[in-house]
Amino acid sequence: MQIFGTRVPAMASLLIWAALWELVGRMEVSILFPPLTTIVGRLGELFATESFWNALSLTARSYLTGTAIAICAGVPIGVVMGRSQIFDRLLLPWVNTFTSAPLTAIVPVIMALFGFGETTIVLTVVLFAIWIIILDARAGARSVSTSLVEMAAAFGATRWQSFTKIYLWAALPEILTGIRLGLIRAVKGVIIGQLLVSVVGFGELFEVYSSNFLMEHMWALLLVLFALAFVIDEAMSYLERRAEYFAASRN
Amino acid sequence: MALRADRIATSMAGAEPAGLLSRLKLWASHPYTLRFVSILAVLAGWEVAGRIPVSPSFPTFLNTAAATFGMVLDGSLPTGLAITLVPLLIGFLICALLGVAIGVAMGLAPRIEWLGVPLFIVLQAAPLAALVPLIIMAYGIGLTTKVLIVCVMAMPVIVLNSFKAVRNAPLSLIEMGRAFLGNRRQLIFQVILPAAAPVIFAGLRLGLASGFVGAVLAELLVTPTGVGDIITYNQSIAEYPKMYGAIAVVIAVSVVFIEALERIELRYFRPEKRGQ
Amino acid sequence: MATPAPISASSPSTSGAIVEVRSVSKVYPGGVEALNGISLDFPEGQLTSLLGPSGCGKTTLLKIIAGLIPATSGEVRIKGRKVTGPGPDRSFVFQDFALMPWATVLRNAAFGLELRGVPRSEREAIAESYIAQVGLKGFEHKFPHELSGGMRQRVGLARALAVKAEVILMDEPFSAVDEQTRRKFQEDLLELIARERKTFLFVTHSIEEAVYVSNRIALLSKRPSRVSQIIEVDVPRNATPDAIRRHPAYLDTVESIWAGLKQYLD
Repeated sequence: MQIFGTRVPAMASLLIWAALWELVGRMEVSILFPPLTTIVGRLGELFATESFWNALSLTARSYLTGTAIAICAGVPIGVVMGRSQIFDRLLLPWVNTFTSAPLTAIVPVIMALFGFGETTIVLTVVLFAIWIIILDARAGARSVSTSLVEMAAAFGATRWQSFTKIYLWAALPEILTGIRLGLIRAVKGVIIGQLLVSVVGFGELFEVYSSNFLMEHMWALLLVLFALAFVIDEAMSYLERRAEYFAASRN
Repeated sequence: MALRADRIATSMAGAEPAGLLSRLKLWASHPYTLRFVSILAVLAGWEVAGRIPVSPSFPTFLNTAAATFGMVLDGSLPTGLAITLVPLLIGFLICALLGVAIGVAMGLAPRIEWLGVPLFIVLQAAPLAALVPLIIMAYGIGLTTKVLIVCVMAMPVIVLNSFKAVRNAPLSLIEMGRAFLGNRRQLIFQVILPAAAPVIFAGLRLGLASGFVGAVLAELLVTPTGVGDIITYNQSIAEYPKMYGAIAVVIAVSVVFIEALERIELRYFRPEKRGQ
Repeated sequence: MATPAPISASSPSTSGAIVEVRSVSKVYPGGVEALNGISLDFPEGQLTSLLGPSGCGKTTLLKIIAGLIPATSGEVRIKGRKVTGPGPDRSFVFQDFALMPWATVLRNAAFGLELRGVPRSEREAIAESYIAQVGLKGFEHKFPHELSGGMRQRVGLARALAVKAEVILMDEPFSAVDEQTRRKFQEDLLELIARERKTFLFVTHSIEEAVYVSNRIALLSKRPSRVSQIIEVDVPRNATPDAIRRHPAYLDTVESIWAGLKQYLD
């Protein structure tokens, strides 16, 4: 984008939206949007409370545990599905269903089985992240070029060797895409989990703020969460771009 | 490519002299057989896990199925579903029209792109479910709130997919249109949009899926109505078969809806895929 | 001079044949008949080309010899042992190079040895010497996408040589390389053959290439392929590349093969 011949940075338009938000807030169009400046002012207050940091650390812990489980389980399952027709036919209907199903509805089941604690949040994260990771790893394994597979066979690779030395690497671009999408879904999962299990982490804060109608505090908290999600997304996109030349060199 | 090798391998097994084993292989290689086996295995696993039982709050499949039938017969489940689907459909329709329009506009005009894309990228990455308490605070617990929640969840993915679809429309086709003196309007409606249709529809399916997440979330968080009420009420009185049944039905309905959207796409918007 | 021999399809195994193909047929599922009862001997220490119109099943035959795809009927023997799959006695050079984009030239060239569990320092020393032999010294730590097409195929060649197989199968190795690079490559290949004393099986659809690099040429007919002719190429190998390409024997052989192949074109 250029204005009067000078290049304007891509993300600069967010400033315009921020200004618009401030304006809408000042004009008191809707109680949903308090002025942005007052929200930013609340950030300091938020950071000063111990409950915020407790919630953040609990969220980070369950997020990392959940995504680690989802990646370690999802990538191998996906690659195996991409290579074996039998596994593919057995599992694909379920994976497809759960990739687009309203997983929110399953969270009450996890709550009923595992109670209202951290385990439930971790499992919710796994539930949200794993399906897209499986699906993309599967797509990656299917797009591995035949001649690389034949090459490994011609030089006497065992099944295990072709899996670890060829498929896993050749499928890496898709696997990384899947992990990035999985990580984004996991952020949504960790928040939805805490919204429903409203007694731990940010769920507790949401509960406190909304029962006291602290709109500005709530927004401040949301800004922090949105920023964190955006950082995770950007970091993963960066990793993905670094692996892109793999895909470019395929025919 | 690699897939072809697999297919060759399996069909070669089928071409062997017809012994019992190779017949079995042939039968097992039919696409529907394994799908059927897979569904059966999961349901059987559910039944067994429920009979052990793995947890007092884990009902058997047969009990769940019976409870579900009961809820269908006494009308509570259809009524609940209808209540859930109203905000979902309203919200999704709004998003489909508005979202595709915004996305296409961003794809066509660099200035709109500059203004809009960063906002929607941030929104797509953000856990928008966290907005639910805010929306409830602002608009109470009525239909408006639910529709808004559905919209918030479904909009970003629809907008961004429409944008990407238009931006990635094949240049050679656009150049072809220009070489044959198509005007801008013709280019957009006769070349770019048809070329972008598959990705736009992929976005709509993802949007519908997110909309379902939002609709269910709204009902679980807002004073329960609809299927959300059936789930939370039965959870609170430990009537687990009914709770599980309602959840299974919601998931099944979402699958059916997304499938239906795909059928509509193929039927009306993808002439090249007809008859396949 | 070229000596077009009659069809030697059923000639019994003669001494010195390291690869024996015995009435191999290949029918792909769906009924496409690629090969129809091919029998062929490949003498040790020579470069034999499989030449034929595109789509005639040359590559299929080579991959059957490599053990990468099973024959529908018939068998292949290497030094008298029946082929049931890929083995350490054969190595393969791929048409599209089949280099791992995530691995350096060195690791790609050493990959065959890596799969056999050869310790790292040992396999890298071997790979380095072959990388130098194919003229890529100094490129060991580059990645494939940093190399030109011709250089990539040299890596493929180094990888095939590094495993010290007796038979090297080459599937149209120069077809994805531009014309000038290809000529240079062909000349280097001749030197390499003289040095390595191995058996080469070479698939190509270029008549000139086949005559230039081969000792023997097996002409395959259109699908379903049979061996239509075996041609012993009698071109002086010690002459300079230019002299070979202008030698009457070279030109005559090219001409007679073309005359023979023309009838298969529509």
